Amino acid sequence: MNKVITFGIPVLSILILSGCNGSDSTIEETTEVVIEEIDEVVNENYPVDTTKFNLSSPSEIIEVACTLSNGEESTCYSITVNGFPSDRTELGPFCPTTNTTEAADAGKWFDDGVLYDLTGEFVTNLDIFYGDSTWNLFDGAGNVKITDSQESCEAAARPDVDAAYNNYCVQCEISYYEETEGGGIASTFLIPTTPVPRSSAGSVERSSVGVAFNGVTLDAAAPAEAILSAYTIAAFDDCVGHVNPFAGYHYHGANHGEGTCPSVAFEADGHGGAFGYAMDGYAIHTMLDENNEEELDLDTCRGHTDDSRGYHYHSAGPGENLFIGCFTGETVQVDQQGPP
Amino acid sequence: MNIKNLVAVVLTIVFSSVFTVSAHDSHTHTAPWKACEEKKKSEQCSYTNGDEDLFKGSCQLFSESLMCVRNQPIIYAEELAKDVKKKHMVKDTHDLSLSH
Repeated sequence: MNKVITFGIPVLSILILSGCNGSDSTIEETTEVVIEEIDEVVNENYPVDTTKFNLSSPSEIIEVACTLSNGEESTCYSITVNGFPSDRTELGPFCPTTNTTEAADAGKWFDDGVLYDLTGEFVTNLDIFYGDSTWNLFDGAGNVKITDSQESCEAAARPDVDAAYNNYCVQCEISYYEETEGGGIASTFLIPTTPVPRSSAGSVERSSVGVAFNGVTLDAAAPAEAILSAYTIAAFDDCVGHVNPFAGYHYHGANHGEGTCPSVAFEADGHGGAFGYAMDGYAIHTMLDENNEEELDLDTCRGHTDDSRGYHYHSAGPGENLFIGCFTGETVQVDQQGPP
Repeated sequence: MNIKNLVAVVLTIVFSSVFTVSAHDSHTHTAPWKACEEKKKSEQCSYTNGDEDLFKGSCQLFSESLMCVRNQPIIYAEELAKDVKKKHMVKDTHDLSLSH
């Protein structure tokens, strides 16, 4: 079993105030430090099931030797994807085009845990939304200023946004980067064939979190502060995915079943369905079960264990800019993993 | 209520609010990060977003910064409002029974 147990330890101030009638009343303010422990129960680390992948061609999954983050020699699946989701024929929509664009013709943006429809009205009110009058994504004719070429997309999508693209809705087309027709930027992921529990949780840092069964990268948190500080919106589509020059099309959240984003089937027992594997080989399931409820026993990495699935994660909400909080299992050593 | 009890109540209110980062005033996109600014990895954290929904979890490392990762169900603002309303109703009922 790869179980994370948390213990609350009072570590902050204890204020003792004397109450009336000679009795003492104690006000105890605590901040809880979570201590993570992992118990070893091997049979709850289910092997990666490669038959769950449904990848666009050309792609391949092969078994290779690898070295895990703890230095242990192991076997991994080398999963090469072509960068285009196998369950869709086109991406988007991303940016709204005018101040009247409705939700069906626009993508998404997120803020502090909430996923918003990136409608013309939403973009019109960005100054109010962010409390900053500098926001104005429109040209004089009521059209949204959108990066409409590879040059402009790359100038606006880089970490130090070209000032010429302040107050732009940023949208990069996959066609700029397709290495094969109908594809995107190919990537190879190395994932342990069977998860190996860590002694303490590993940080996600800035690397990829995992790969979806449809061949799309589950990326680390989007640098929202850098994007917004340049008065840009890096628009997502309904799947909370977008294209950049480095990773091609990738996800920053899980939002299956809305708009143009295909749904994920619930499991036979009503549990949230799996849609990908994390880099440590544990499956990632949807946030909600068939009753629209979340699991109540998630650990700090957003995982838990049950008899049917062993240890697995549940993705955070579509607007939370993350999938999981940390890695409960060993990942492959960084120098073996390809570029993010 | 004497002065000591009053001080106790005020301090309770102040301290209970210190550990929840509020983003009520505007949408900042930084509430999950701010919730962990003064904390260490794995410490518990919470924040409210612009819709006043409550997110509770622990601080985890992303790109060299700590971010509050929720591992409990979101407590939506309407649920919080219902709880407050319920408490008021209980209190009102209690006050009513005491007045009779």
